[in-house]
Amino acid sequence: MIRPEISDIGAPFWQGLRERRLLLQFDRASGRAQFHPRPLGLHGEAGVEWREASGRGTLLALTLSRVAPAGWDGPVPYPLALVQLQEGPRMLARVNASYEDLRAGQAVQVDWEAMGEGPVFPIFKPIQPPRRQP
Amino acid sequence: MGGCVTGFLRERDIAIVGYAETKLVRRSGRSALALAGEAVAGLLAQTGIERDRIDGFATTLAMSEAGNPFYSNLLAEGLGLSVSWCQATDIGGASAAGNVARAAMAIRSGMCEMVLCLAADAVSTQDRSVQSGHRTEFCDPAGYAGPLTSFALLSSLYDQRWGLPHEALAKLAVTQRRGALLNGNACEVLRKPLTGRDYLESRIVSDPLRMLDCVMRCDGASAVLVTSTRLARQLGLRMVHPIAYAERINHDPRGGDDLLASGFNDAGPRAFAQAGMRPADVKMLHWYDDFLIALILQLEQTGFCAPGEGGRFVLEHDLGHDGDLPLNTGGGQISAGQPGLAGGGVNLVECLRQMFGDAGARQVKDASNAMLTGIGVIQYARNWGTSAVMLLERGP
Repeated sequence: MIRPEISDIGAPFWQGLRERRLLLQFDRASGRAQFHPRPLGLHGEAGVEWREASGRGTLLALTLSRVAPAGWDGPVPYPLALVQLQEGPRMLARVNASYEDLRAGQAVQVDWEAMGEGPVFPIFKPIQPPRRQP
Repeated sequence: MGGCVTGFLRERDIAIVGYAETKLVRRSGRSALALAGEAVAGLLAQTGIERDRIDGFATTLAMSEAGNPFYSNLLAEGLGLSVSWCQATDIGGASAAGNVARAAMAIRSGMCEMVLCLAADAVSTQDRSVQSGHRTEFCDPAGYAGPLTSFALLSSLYDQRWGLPHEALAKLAVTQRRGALLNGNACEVLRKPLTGRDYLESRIVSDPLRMLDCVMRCDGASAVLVTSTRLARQLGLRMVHPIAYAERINHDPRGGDDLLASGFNDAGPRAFAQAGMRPADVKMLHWYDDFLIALILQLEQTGFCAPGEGGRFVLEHDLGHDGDLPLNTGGGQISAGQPGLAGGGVNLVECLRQMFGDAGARQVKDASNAMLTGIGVIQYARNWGTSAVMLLERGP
C-alpha cells in the first residue's frame, strides 16, 4: 500500500485511524464538519475541533478503477467512490465489495477489518440490510 | 462571490498580434527551454518584432521543470529577454488564457507594453512534478489514479443524473479527430481516422470513462505576443482583441454545492456580461478539453444549453470547421495532444490561427469572434478548481 505523507494538519486524522476512530474537524460554533483537514474552519471563524464521526455514509459517485497510482501494490481493478459522509463532507475512498453489487445512494460504513493495521486510508463496505425478525 | 463584471478589456485597447507553436510530439527527448526557443523564434519571425522590444514576460509552469524555483527568470535569461515585468502563472490549464489577461493588466498599468506569453512543457519526456497537500495525503493512499479518477467520478454522477450522452461524446471525439487530421502540428500517433464505433469500443480505464475520453500527454510549446492596440497600430500589426475575461478559482470553498457545478457557472456569465454578448453570438469555440465530458459540462455551465442538455446540443450542431459552431478545429488537446501545463496554449493558438485567417484547409468561414476557455487543477472530492473564459474579437 502507498504510505501517506502525514502532514501536521492531518496528524490527528491518522492517529485516529490507528485507534480505529474516524476523526473529522468540526466547527466549534456551528458544529459543521469538514474534510480534508484544513488549517482554518471553512464554515466560520470560531475554529475547529477534532471529533469522532459515525463512519457511515452513502455512495455518491462510483468507479471501477482499472488504473492505480504509482507505487500501488494492491489488486487492480478496485471500486473507488466518493462517499457522502453522514456528517456532511465527501471522502474519496475504496469500497470493499464487488463493483457489480454497488449502487449510487447505497449506505456504507467504514470497514476497519479491511484496513488491518494502520496507517491505511479508510475503506468502506456496504451496510447489510437489517435482518427481519422471525 | 465577487468578480469583475464591468470588464477591463471591452475598450479594445489590448491586442494579440502574433502566435507560434511547435509541433506536438510524444516523448520528443527535448527540454521545455528548447521547445520555448523554437516557439519564440517562430513568433519573432511571424511578427517581425525585434526581441529587444519585448519588455514583459509571462509563462505557464512546466512539469518537466517543476522544482525549479526560478523558472520564469531562468527562461527569460535562456531566451535572451530583459523585461520590466515577469511572472509564472500556476493555474494549470487556465494559465495560457490567464497569461493573456495578466499581460493586459500589466500593459494597462504601465509595467510594460510588449509581452511574450509562453507555454512550454516536455512532460512526456521528463515529469519532475511532485504534488503535495491532499493529493499525497488523502488521494493517493485512497487509490486515486490522477485526473482520470476525478473525471470518472464526475461522469458517474452525470450518468446518474442525466444519463451519459454516449453518442454525443462519440461525435465530439470524431469531430475533433477530423481536425487533427488537418493539423500538421498534432501528435502523429493521433493523426489516424477515428469512427464513432472506435470511440464507443475503446478500452474502459475507470468506469464509465473510456481511453478515448482522455487526453494524451506530449511535449510542445506555444507563444503569443500581447501589446497595446496603440503600439500594434503604430507598428502596422494585425490584431485580435481579448474583449472579456473572467476566471474563478476554488468556486465552492465549502464543498456544499452540486458536485457537477464548476467555476464556469460564474465565469461564463460574467465574461458574457463584460462583452455584452450571449452564447448565441459566439462564432467558434476553443475550449479546454482534457476530457470529453468537460466539453459537455462547459456547454451547460456557460449558457449554451440547460443542464442535462449538453449531449443533445452536440447532436443538434455541426461542430466541425465547416459547421455552424466550430469547436477545437485543430483537434483540440484530445486529438492533438496535451503538452502538460502548456496544454491551454493548444486551444489558444488554434483560436488565434483561425481569427487571423491562417488555418488553411480547416479555416472556418466566420472567425470574427471566439470563446476560449481554460481548466486548471483538480480539487479534493469536487469538480475542477479553476475555470477561465476569454472572449476575443478580430481587429479591424
